[in-house]
Amino acid sequence: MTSFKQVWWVMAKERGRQLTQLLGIDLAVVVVLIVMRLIGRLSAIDLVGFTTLMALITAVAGFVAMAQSQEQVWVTNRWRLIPVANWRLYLASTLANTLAIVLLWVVLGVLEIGIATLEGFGVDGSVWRDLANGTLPFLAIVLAFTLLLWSLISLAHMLSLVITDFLPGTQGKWLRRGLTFIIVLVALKLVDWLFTGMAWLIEKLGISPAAFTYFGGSVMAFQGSVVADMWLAVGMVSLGAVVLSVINCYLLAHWVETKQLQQMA
Amino acid sequence: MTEALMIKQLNYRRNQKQLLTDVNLTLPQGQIVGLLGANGAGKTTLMRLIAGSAVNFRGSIQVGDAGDAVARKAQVSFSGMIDGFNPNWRVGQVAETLAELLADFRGEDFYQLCDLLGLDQKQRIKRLSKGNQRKLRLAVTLSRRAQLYLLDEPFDGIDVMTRKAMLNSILKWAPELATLVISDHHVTDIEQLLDQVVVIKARTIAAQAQADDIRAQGQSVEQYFESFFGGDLDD
Amino acid sequence: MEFDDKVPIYYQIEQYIDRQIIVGDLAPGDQIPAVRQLALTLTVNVNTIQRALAELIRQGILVSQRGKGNFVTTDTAVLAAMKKRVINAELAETYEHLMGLGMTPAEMLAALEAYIQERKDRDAHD
Repeated sequence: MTSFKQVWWVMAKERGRQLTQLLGIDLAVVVVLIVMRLIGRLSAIDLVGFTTLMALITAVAGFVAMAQSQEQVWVTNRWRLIPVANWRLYLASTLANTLAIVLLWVVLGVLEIGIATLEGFGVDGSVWRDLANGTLPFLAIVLAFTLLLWSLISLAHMLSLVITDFLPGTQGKWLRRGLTFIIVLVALKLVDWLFTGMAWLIEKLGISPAAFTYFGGSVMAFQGSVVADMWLAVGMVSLGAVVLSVINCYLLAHWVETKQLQQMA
Repeated sequence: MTEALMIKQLNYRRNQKQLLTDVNLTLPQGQIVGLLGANGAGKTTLMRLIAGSAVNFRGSIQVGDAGDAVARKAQVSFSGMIDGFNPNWRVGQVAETLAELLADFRGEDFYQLCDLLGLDQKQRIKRLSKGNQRKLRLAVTLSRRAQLYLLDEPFDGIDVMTRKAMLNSILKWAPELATLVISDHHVTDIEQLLDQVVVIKARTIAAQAQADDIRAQGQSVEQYFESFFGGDLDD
Repeated sequence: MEFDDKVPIYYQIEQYIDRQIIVGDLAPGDQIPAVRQLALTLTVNVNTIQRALAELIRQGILVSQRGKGNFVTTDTAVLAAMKKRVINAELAETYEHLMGLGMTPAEMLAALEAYIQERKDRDAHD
């Protein structure tokens, strides 16, 4: 039998390597931006702006890369034939994704803060207190949401596979199209909720949009009740992710098969 | 002594089509078994079910003492295991990863097998010729210490010299008490090696016989197999 | 090794070892290769080798020594009987074939002597 730790570790290493590559691209662009700034071709606010943009792009690319790696696990013999329980396989993959993406965010965040600080968008002492109050639940929501999206993608993928295996060709095609349509609608709705939630948050705190581009001290001084609401949101989103994951584990154990190469009889 | 493989009333369908019906099969330990059938008869499907690649079946599959899927996976080495590796990886990397993930994977055996078969550790999977890919598949499968080895058409598209090397690898590396199931639709490739043959036809086990019993009746295993198809290999 | 695919392989292996003994590749008392080695050399599976060896041991042609392996017997009577059996099998086949051509035993003997003479002359010329 293979232990959970073995599976998780191999997955974590592989995904870490993938994200390191993405990070490399991001750093290369940032270096170019810095050089442009140093030779006077770029203003301070543009440097921070573009760095932020690159960070966002890299974060999204990282999300997609992790989703792709995860989906490979469900349908390849390489992973499915390992003597480990299906739920452990699922958990290992989720944890590996989580660790890798959080590390990516940390590096991107440090880079972001570093550049912002150097350009005088000051971060004073009170920020660290505010970090615990405000940024933490905010990051927790983003992480919970990421996990929710990953499990939603897995669910869609697995359902699609189950339908393909269960129904003959043509019937399955229409059902899968319908499924894709529904899943896309659900995903859009979730993203809409996220942005509505963030807009509500910003309004509640009386923060103007411009303030969001830098880390000022008082910006992060969230009210107690707001923080509580945020943690509630974290709980709800996490619960959603857990529910979907349980469904996914069931599908994985009883329905999802590995891909078969065409040349085999 | 527990049987190497015990399949009882296995039924399996996909796409609203029955692929295997009432399959009952018992294989003892320490034998080399030929799984013979026409193209599409269900040989690969049966192996995938035993190995755990396919999951939604009715009936029971037991390998040695292992009845549930996870325990079975620890006892079975299936040639399909290599599916899913990044084609950019090198042969050596495959071994490293498998050694990390599988308790029964023997790295030294793998390197020796690669030497015997002429596989270069540094080559990338995507650059391997079809024959070399088959060799890699075999090397990976035989490097695990398992009770049951499933080799799916290992000699498909292989030239004579390579086949000889592969046959030798099989003979040299299969542990004494392990059972090997080798599927092939060219019976002559593996005839010499077989203790038993199992014939799949009409989505079930049509026959099971000892190879030497067949020959004692003056028939070659190939003739025996062809007799199930009235000279015509369409199901 | 190439085998006749219509005759049990274990039987063909017995014949193979018998012949090796007759020809002298295996002398009385010699150790025969290990089962695994034979399997590799002849490209057959281990069970088949073991069955062949078991039969040869049962016939007394091979002797098994615990922990050491299998040896050709030193009992020359047994080996002589085996040689006779093998030769007779060849002769029987030829006999059956020639009978099938309608020859009488006397004709067979004459034909064989003539053939041997022909071969002697042919070999002398080469």
